Amino acid sequence: MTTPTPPPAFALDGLSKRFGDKVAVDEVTLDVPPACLFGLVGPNGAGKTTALSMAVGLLRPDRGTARVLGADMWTDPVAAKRELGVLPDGLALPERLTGGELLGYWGRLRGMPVPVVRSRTAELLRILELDEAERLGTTVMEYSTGMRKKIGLATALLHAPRVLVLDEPYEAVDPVSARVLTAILRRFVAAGGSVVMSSHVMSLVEQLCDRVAIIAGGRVVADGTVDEVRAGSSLEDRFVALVGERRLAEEELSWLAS
Amino acid sequence: MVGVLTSMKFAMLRHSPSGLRRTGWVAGAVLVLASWAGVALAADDRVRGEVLLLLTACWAVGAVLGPVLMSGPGVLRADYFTLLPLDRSRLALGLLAAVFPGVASGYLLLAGLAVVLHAALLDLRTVVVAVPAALLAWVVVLTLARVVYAAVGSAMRSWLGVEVSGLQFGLILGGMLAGWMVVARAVESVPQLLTRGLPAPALVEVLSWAPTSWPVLAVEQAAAGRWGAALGWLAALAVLAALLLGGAAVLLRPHLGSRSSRRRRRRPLASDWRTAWRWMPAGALGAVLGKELRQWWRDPWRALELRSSVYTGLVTGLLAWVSRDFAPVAPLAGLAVALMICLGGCNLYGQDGSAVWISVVNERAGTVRAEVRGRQLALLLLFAPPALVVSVALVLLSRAGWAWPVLLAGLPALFGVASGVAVLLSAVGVSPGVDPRRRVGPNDAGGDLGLQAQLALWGTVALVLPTVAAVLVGALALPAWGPWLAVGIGLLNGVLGYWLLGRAAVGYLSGRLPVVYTRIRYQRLEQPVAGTLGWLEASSQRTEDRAREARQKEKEARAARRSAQTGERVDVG
Repeated sequence: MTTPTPPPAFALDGLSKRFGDKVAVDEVTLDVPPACLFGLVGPNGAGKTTALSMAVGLLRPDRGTARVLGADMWTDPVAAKRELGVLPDGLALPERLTGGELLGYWGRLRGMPVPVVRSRTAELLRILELDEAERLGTTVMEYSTGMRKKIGLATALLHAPRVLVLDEPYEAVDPVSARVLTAILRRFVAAGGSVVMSSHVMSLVEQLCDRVAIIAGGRVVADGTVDEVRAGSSLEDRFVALVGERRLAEEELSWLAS
Repeated sequence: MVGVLTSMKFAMLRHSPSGLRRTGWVAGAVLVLASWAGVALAADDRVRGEVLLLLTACWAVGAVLGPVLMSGPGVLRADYFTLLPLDRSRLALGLLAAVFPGVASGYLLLAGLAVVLHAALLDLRTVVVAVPAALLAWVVVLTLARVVYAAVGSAMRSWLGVEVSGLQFGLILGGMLAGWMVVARAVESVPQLLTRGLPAPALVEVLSWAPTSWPVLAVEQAAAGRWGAALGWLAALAVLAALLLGGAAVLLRPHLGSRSSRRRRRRPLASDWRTAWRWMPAGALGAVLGKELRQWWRDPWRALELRSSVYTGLVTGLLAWVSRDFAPVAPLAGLAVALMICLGGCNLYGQDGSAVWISVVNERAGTVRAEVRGRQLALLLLFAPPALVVSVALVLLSRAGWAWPVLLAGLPALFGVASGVAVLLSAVGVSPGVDPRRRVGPNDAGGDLGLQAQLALWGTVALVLPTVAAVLVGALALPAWGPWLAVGIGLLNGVLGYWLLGRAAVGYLSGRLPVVYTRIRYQRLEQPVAGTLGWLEASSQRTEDRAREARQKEKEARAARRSAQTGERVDVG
């Protein structure tokens, strides 16, 4: 365990959400200590994105609270959002701006001084290898999926937050950029920042994260340090054991490549 | 393959809203009957020929504009088939062949066959020329329509496509606003057309150049005994048809490469991030204003709103001007452009799609105010210059000096009120439409906006009534300088509209940005408000819900039908 320094960087307490008859998120409670890389894993439709949306102030929970560095997301949103950087999955951006313009828009919206926005934009575009697209005037609309992830990551980092919430940050990102991303996250955590990231890639979470939670059917079914959760086996085996397995029977798809 | 493509086309048509389809069938049948009646009732052979020239040209224009306007149902796009192992040229021919069977193309053929009546009345033997000529002209027009759709209709991808669609919407809206003035005049002149033919010989000359007129010319040459010339016209039609078919076979091949992989030829305007924000006010207001101006300028769906507004004003003014009886309205066309702000901007959040998340996660004190005022300012900066240009042009064109004070009072009033109404409706009545990255057709940027459009239009008109009253009082009850007094009222009306309506939008959105996001992302209205805004909020949400339920029901009904008639083909009718 890391030394308990109150308050936790990020704390979800009893978050719940129903959509009609379907319980999307059920009493999710998680604590993310400062200087921690926290992995959130779960099958498709488990409620990861819904839980994170409620935690960052996008979707109002039916019950429960979310706090960023002690500030309540839903009663004191401005304070809670001040130190928070967010990378959502699959949402629209101002599609007709170039990456550089998007960062300029973001910085001004945040009230950052223009020279700071300018120098950080140049640096982020260069490090995330988006500078060539910028030189050509490529708009976000024309970006590939991986490039969209990278510009999303740049926006999340631009205002130098202390807590990052990243939904599938490694999805569609090429191996070279993934290494850069890992280096960025490690340095961020070493400097005292906290990261919550969701992912489908178990080996990545296992290798990168300090703590991990498994969500299935809207509930947290395991939570702790990576070693605690995997309990002697691999994270993937543990995940499959907790979530349930779908085996391919002998006769199914037997026509394939026969 | 043609059979498969044709049944696929009919399947897509079946899935388009049935009410609209039936209206189209009835309207088409009425137009065919009217065309035949016009030909039958014409006073003599010469007049009948001229009536036919005009009618066939009108049908051709309709056939070419139709598919672009209706965009979507019934048009098979070459891109649907890129991944199938099909020969590209054969696919293009198959797509082309699938254009011909259909209700609309059937009407076009029936209308074109009116030339057979002309031939029978001239000389029964000329019918042998009339029938193949009508068929060839039909092939020419339909192929042309498909080629135009392929060139323009993939539409929202090119600057030209947006411009043409903007002009078409302008023609429709301007036609609705002022078309009756011209129709009134045209209806008056129908008896004249049927007894005396086209008013200007020059018009006949121009029309006879159009390929749609060649069947008439062929028939008339044959009736005059010049069978060689008649065959010449037929041959010309055949050559043209062959050329167009060849062109279509090339154009309709699926093009390789997508939006994202296409290399840009030039940078978007003002897109150098190092200098891009130089002219913007500091802070969040400048951020929103700069982002909005760029989106308006570069997003084809927004550009379409802007263009169609300008063209609506222009078409309204020009129609009024040529109608003679209503010419005094013409110099006020710029007011129509200003009025269009309330329609063009009434779904700004819906157009942005889920991108509103950025304002939610970056929320600070003043973010909501910047959101609202930045959007209002962008509307003014983009719509005011064309409104002024159209005003000045039409005042000068119609030499109506009296219109200056009316415009100087009306334009600021409309700018202020319409921009306020637009941003308030955008927030309260948000309708998301298709996700920005998946938009294809010109109508994809919003759902059913009927209620919003009505409220925007009548709300704006009602809120500029003080200015209207001031202009009327000034013109009727006061001496010559009277109307100029209204200018002050108009300015005040505009400033108050801009400020108060914007403030209402800020009040509504404060603390509710996540609600707007949830409506867009999850199609759910949470934490409804009370009062008038609550009514609007709930009504627009109900429209969205109903549309979704209707889609769901139609899907289920179709599934039920399919399972009931497994193996049988559904009759298309």
